Amino acid sequence: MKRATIVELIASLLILLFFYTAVSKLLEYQTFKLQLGKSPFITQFSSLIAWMIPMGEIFIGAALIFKRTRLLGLYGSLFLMTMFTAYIYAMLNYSYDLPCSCGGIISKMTWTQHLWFNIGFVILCIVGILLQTKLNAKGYKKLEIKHDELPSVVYTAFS
Amino acid sequence: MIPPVIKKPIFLIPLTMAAAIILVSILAWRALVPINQKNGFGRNFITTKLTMLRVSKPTEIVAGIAGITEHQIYFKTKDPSKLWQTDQNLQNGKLIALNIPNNSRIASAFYSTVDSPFVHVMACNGPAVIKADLSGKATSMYRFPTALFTRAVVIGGDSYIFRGFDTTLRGAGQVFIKGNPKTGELLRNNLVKNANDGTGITSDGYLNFDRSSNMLVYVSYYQNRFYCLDTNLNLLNSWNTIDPGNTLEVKVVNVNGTLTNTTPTRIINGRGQAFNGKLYNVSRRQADNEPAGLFSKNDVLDVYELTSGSYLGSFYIPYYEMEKVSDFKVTENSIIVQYKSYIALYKRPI
Repeated sequence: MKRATIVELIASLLILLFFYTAVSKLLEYQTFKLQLGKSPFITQFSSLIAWMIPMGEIFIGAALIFKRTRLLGLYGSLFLMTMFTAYIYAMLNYSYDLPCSCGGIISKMTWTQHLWFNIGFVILCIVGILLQTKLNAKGYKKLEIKHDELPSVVYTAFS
Repeated sequence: MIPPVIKKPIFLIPLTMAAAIILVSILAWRALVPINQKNGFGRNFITTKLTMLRVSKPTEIVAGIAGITEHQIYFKTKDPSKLWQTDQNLQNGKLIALNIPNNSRIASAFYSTVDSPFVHVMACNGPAVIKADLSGKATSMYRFPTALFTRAVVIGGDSYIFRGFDTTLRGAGQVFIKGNPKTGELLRNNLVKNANDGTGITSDGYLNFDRSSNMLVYVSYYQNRFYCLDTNLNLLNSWNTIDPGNTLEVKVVNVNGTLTNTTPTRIINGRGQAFNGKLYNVSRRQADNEPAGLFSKNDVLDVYELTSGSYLGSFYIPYYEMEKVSDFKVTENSIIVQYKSYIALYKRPI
């Protein structure tokens, strides 16, 4: 399978995941905020996080749609998914209370299932970043070959 | 200007992941610092290791220990119309079908108590009590003129004690109710309440009945106290547990008809059982002389004398195959323990 196709697939999965969970959280905003308040680690910041997380997911989802910002979107996805994974790990091992603040169908998973689900997406993000970086470099090299034929101002715009 | 080498994925990927992990670590550390401070009490351990006598793996999912007869042990399942039965050695397990309807309202929250030859299924959201024959024949259903209940015990014959909401007592939150559907007896008592606890959640706890002393025992989840009542709901005594912790208020809100807490709950007392004049209470607070490693891999039971409130000592019920204790029952010589996938028999240390 071509690199570009794999990256498109990974980006599509992430876009689907982020938009689905962001919309679920925004539609059930009060419930989501309430559940965040029950978490021992983030109870003090529940109001802030309740809107930051879905907005962040929408922003990252949008960044993934366009090829120009896809790499940024993939790094954003990696940051977010690693953060969620670390949060679940910390809750499972150190928390005295385990609420659920997930969106939609993901709320049907157990905490342990959710941990593995997130680890899977972290791996997808890493694969996506590596492939997208290679694609970007390839695209840059193509331009570099043409660079000698083009005015320097065009080269600067695409570097 | 960022050096080009740092922009390479081999650096950026771990940097991104490290930043995310550090952020979560800081949040977790801030939350855990007050919790990891000393709790100001110590435990006297009778033993730190229980002797396991038997263990078995039921072929059905069991959800609690319903009762014990001379020859059998009964376990509750998620289906109110079925019990898992074994012999006294946890062997020869089989499913027992009861003549009880399995509708979602009953199945949503219920207690099953075996009082041979009957089993009482107390449906909290009914609210109703269903008395069925263990042989699968006759069934009676009783409704009470009160609202939902959250705790229920059988005290003998057709008498039940509940803790629940009573529509006749406005603003009282949850109260104790005694009911006998045969005689029509109905008693109410608004004991164990906190200020600003309209829903009865801050004063929530578990309810037990000790046949030998004919005493009801109510242990608060969020307070370091337990209450002893007689079967007419008169308060006999209230005692402190060894944990000197203060009452932890639980803030509650009504969301679409469901009462739920808005802040994390810190439980002091988990579950327990009153048996032969003693209370076996699972504590969720680590003692100052207790290694964190042992506390996190076992349920610690503190034992108290019911008549005097004296602390008699503590012991651990271990987790098994990395599974936590879901339920336990103390008998004359043993402790029956139910895990998620296993049931086990341990020698009773006290």
